[in-house]
Amino acid sequence: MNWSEVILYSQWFFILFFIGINLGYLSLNLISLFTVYRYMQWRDIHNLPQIFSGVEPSVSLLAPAYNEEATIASSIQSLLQLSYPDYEVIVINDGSKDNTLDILKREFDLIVIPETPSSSLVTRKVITTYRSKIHPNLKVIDKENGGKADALNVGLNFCHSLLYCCIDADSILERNSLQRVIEPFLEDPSTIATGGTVRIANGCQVREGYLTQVGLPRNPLALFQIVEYLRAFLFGRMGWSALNGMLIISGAFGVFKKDVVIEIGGYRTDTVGEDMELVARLHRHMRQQKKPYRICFVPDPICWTEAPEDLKTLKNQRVRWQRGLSESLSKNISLLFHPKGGFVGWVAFPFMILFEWLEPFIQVVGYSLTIAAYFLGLISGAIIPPFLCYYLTFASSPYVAFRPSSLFVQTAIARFRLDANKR
Amino acid sequence: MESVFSQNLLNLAFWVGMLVILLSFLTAIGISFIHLIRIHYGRRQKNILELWRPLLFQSIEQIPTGIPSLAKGDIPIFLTLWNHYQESLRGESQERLQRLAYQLNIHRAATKMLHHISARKRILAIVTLGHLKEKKAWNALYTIANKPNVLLSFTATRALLHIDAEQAVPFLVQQIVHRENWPMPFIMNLLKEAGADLISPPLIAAAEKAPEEKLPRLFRYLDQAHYHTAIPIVRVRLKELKYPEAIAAGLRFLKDSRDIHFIKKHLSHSFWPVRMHVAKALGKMGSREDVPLLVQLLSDSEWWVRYRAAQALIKLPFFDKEKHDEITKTFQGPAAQQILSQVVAEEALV
Repeated sequence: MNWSEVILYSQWFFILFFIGINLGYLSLNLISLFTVYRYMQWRDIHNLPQIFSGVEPSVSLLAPAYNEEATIASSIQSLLQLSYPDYEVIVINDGSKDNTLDILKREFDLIVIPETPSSSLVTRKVITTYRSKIHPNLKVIDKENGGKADALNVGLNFCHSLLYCCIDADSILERNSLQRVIEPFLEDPSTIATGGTVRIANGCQVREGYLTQVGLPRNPLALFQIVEYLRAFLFGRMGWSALNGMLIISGAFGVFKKDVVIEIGGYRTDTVGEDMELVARLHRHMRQQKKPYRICFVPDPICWTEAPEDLKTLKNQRVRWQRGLSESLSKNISLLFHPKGGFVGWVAFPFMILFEWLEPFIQVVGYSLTIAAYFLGLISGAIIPPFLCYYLTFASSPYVAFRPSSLFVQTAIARFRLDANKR
Repeated sequence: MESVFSQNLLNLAFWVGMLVILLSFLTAIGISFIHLIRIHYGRRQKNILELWRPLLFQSIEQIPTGIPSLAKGDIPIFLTLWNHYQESLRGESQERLQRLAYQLNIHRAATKMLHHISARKRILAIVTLGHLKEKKAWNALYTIANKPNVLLSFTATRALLHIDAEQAVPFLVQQIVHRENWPMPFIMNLLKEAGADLISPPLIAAAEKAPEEKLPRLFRYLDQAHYHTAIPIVRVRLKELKYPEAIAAGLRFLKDSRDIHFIKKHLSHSFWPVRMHVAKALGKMGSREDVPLLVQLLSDSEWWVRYRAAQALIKLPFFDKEKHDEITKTFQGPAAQQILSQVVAEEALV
């Protein structure tokens, strides 16, 4: 077979790929619109004045911190003001080299308390455990540096609640975020994990750990990321959530049932995408055990986080994410087309492999083949202008088309929140 | 043949792309449309709230004269505000707002809204009719309360409770026994609203007959009933129960020192929440003779059992440093010492 034949036959693959990716995202889009509509019905009830009933489960907020001296005090202060009846905040100082621990000791009047772990996940050494004299629900664990996954495992060992919420130490939660993200656990006892929306705090006004005003950043990179996050959360995850096929819960804001995570061995420390790998492993475990379960996404509770504003940091972040995706999928590859895999194994997982993991490579190969076809004389130079038009419209259509859709969903939710806030 | 097929495939790819582009343009138009509606709605809402908020506020004390009429399109916004006040008020203030609503013919508008195509408007109507205590809507609300939809059925049941609590409570109890998809916090709030006097008899009757698998939730709901009338049934059921979750929920309910002998029988139960409740109970109702049992639980395999046993131990009135040292000598492993040290340190923090 010569190169010309390779190029000609490969076009079939690219056409089918193009149809598949567009139909896939279109379907997710439609499902998410319907799911948001149903979700907003429930919000009417939840927006009536609520009194906590006393049966809400206790939650442990796990906040790994590494070199966070600039923001740790205000972040933890805001976490201690959340509107939820029974929760604790566990800060895991992951061997910070700056003054993170000293600031915590000073700001929160910490004293040494001999905490006992309730689980025995293998972790790096725990040096000391502290409690705050002024905030009884604040614990600080000082440990040897071992990375975020190791810090979360330490947090799991020392948290005693039924549920835990993993957050980044520099994330900002809204006051009712925890209350909202817990609701699926109350409505359906088979729920084992939920994720909330992560939005970009760049351009917003933040005062003492609270987001006081939402705004748009001036930085164009951050602006692009705002729409990208909307697409990823509001119809990617909403769509998958409705089908119980959600393979990612953001490490910046997710709630899990502790006993299930302990059962599967906690977070893997040999991957950079520990949040996604955990969710994939949860699916694999529950499917293989044939236990009924639900992993879902709640669009309303929001966590705000800073996005990179320069190309170098953005590149590093995206390389890390893609690497994390690659590791998560490869470490759980047995879920792919597993007889007990269900919707996750037969639809969500292959979709993720083909249209998220391999998609950048497929695009690069496609463009390269097009250029090769030109030099092989398979296509004439006259094709270039329409090719460019084709690229700008159809080839990028998943992005062109579905970004407006995510804006649509967000606008619909925002309208609803406007109604609730104006009362 | 092959060229026809590949041409058709190309056409398919082309039209899929066209469809997606078309949808994105329509979505963009939809976004613009929603924004315009939002701006218009925001202005309208502001005007309505500026007019009605002070009037509703005044009506809490006394309904003012010269109340303006309510335009049909303004009703949903007005009702949202009105219901919000209703949720926050009690007594005569609530009744005055109800009279104001009747003056504005809200009861007719809400009854009509029960059949609206929008589920949000139907929910608004249900909540309104409940707050209005509109007896004429009873049958319609009862029908909705029996529908499978969680949100509608729950809201309608709550509205029935507001209209006639005495008549609604047996139905409510029947619903909470059979509907396991109603969120527990909402049910607890409903039971609280209904009051212990009304809910105790049907809830206790339900707990008496329900199968074991339903009892964990039912025993939690009994927290809202009169304790002295509920406890005999719980005791009777506990004697025959095998389902571990039900046993744990039942033990949690026991507060009388006469029950301590029965509670101690579950000391070595295989289900750790049962052992945990035993530890708690021994702390509340135990005596000096029960100290060795608590010390035994300090070495339990489950952290929560050890923790509650340690808490129970240090809260005993006769527990002092001498007792602490005496107990420590009997420990057979580090787990007991560690948990006791933690609890002692926590107690010092308080």
